[in-house]
Amino acid sequence: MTFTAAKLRLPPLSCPGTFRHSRVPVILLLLAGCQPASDGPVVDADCPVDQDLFASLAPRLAPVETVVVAAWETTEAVEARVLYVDTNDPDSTLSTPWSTSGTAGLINLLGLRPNRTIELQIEARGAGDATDSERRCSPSATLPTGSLPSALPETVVTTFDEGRDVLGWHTVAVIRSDDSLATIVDAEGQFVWATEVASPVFRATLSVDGTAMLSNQPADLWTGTGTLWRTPLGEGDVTRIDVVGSHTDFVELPDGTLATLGWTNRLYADDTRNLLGDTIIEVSPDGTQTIVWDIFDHFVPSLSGQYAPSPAAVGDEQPQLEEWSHVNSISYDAASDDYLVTGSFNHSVMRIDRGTGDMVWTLTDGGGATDWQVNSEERELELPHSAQLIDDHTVLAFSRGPVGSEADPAACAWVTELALDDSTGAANPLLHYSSNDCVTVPFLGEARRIDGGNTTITWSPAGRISQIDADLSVVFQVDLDLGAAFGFGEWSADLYRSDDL
Amino acid sequence: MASRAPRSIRIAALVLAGCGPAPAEPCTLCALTDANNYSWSGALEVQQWQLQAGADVQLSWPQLTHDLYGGALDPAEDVERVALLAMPQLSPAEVTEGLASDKLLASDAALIVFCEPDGTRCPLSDFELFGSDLDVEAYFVEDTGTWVAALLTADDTIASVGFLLPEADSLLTEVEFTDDTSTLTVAVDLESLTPVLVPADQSFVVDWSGLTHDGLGNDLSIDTIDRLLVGRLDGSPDSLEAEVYDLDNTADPVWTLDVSGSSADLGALVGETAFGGIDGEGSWVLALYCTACLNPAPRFATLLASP
Repeated sequence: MTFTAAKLRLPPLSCPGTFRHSRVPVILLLLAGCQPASDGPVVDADCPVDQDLFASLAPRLAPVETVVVAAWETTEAVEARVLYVDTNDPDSTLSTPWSTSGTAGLINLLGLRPNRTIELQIEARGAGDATDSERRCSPSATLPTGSLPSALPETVVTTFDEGRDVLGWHTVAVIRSDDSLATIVDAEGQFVWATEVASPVFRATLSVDGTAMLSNQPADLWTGTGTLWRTPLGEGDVTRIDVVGSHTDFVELPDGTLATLGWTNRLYADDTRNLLGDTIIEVSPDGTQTIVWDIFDHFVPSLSGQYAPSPAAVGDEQPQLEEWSHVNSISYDAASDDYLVTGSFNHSVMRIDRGTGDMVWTLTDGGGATDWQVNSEERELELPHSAQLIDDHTVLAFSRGPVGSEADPAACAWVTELALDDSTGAANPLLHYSSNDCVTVPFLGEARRIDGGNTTITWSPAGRISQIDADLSVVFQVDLDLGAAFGFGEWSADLYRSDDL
Repeated sequence: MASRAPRSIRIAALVLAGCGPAPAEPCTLCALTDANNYSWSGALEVQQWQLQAGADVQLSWPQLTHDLYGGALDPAEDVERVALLAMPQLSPAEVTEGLASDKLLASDAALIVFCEPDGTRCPLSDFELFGSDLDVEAYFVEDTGTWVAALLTADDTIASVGFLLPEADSLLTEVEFTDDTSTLTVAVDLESLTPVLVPADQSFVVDWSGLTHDGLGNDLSIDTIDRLLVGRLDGSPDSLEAEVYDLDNTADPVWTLDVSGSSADLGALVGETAFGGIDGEGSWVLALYCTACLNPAPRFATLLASP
């Protein structure tokens, strides 16, 4: 079948308009990554082109220029998806999830490399035609992706054990001395999405609805304002939510509620001691902010010694603000509707009932009041900086270790998995892993169990993300150039959330 | 101007003499290749001090007048930050080699902290990371590897770099950076490259998507290229060796362009005048930069020649 672009009402050249009607030599167009509309469907040669169905197809670049916005209109209601291919890798045709039925659609093509040429088609089927028996396609269109911010550091993939690694995407903050970026890194360690946000940002993560990148700029003073940023992956406005005292980490809940760590203080000893503690502040989708947990309601600080002066103090605050609980990560378990936070004051993982704000349990590795006590000859929890509930009785945690202490000034950080034994109250180690080259992590750091049973580890200031398998073998590892660090992040098997198209 | 003519002839002669596969015709859509690229090598010498472990070591630089790449600086004004890195797995020699060749990874450093100077000094106790005081002195103990102190200017150019080695037996707690603390000796090879033959007095388009290695010999990530420079040098191409870090000031005229992607129309270059192509005077150079990279040397530099 042959067709003309005009007959299809498609642009004759799916490239920026400056080239469209100029007398630019073809070779220049090719250099710029632009190609005239094809003579036939080349993304999926088996899909019959229906030139009457597609009223328009106008792909364009989103503000992050590795995202192609595919928008179309059809003359009848259809379900549709986008078939696309990076012409550098023509044998790997990709597809988006199906859209809901309608006569217009828009899908952001995600995970594309910068400065590549993308060829795409819209594939349509009748509503509910799960067998795709009557699928029809648009003509193909071509668009070059643009560049990513030059502030991105280079990545070096130092381990790539194909077949043992679980392919996916890391959304992760990249922190430099002067700027921060929210990024997505593909399974080959290449940046495929990045935008500069306020600096620093500590976590970058995909929104639950799959349409945006969420990131956080922590407050630098305990009475200051932290900001939660929402940056569309495709087109739209960047929005912000300011939260007084928001610091270090946040998590999004399935209904779109954001839960961030917050700061609070309390005076003790006849108001001569001023201790800094932590809260969990929820921001509901309508913007309402609610403190759902306050550590001072559940733990009584020991006043036997002085805590370190807090860098979050406001000026020469008197009495001097003391850094007490230092809660530094939060995660959420949807099955139980519980939060997990990690605290430095007692080297603990704390499980919190979201509905009531009550403590469910505390897990520590150092004695003191606790519900679960680590049973190990090795230190398993020390300055923990992330915790994930694998199942109701299994916890995965990242520990920074005794960094900065005279006993062990260059301690290796580690990941531990602990099984909680109801019969003994013990937390028994199932996994203990530290890198062979002893990565020191004095700042952030995180471990997450991913689909397929592997574990990703973000060694934040070391600028490294590792993926280890059940045998504790490193099966994927990417490093940043000197001068950049990772923050917190998230691993995703897929960038598309099918229920939002 | 008579002295300049032989240089142009020499460039043309290089092309005609078969120094690489010179294109027969000048290009207006010029695909840059690795064969067009210069090569850079550097020998870095860095002073090291054995210092009292655990001490609040004082770093100062009141007499520092030039950065590592030869640029003049005001020690009180131009050193905006000091970075302190602990590299537990690397010897001073390995760090030196890594700095010179731009091959160090973030994971090579167990600790990176920064200090905003008070005048021309930074004590270890003033170093911090995003407002967090990490008690750096507690880290600064024996057997923690090589500690690197790098004085940085506003654009993160290294003004000077020194190695701090914590020793329990040392009583030294102060170090002073001078122009002799770190020296970089650069060798640049322009004779082995294939010049890019372009038409005289006419702008053109360059595409660097085909480059695979930078002039330092490392794999090149195209996406890191963010600046382009075209300029004329009065000296011979050999003089680029001394000027490789200062083409903005030594080339005259000079045009620059912030770039992204892998191609650029030189008609968009920004200079005192519009860029109208090269002429037969002097030596013309085209350079591509990665401004976020540690080593500010061009990732790509070539000579432009016209028939």
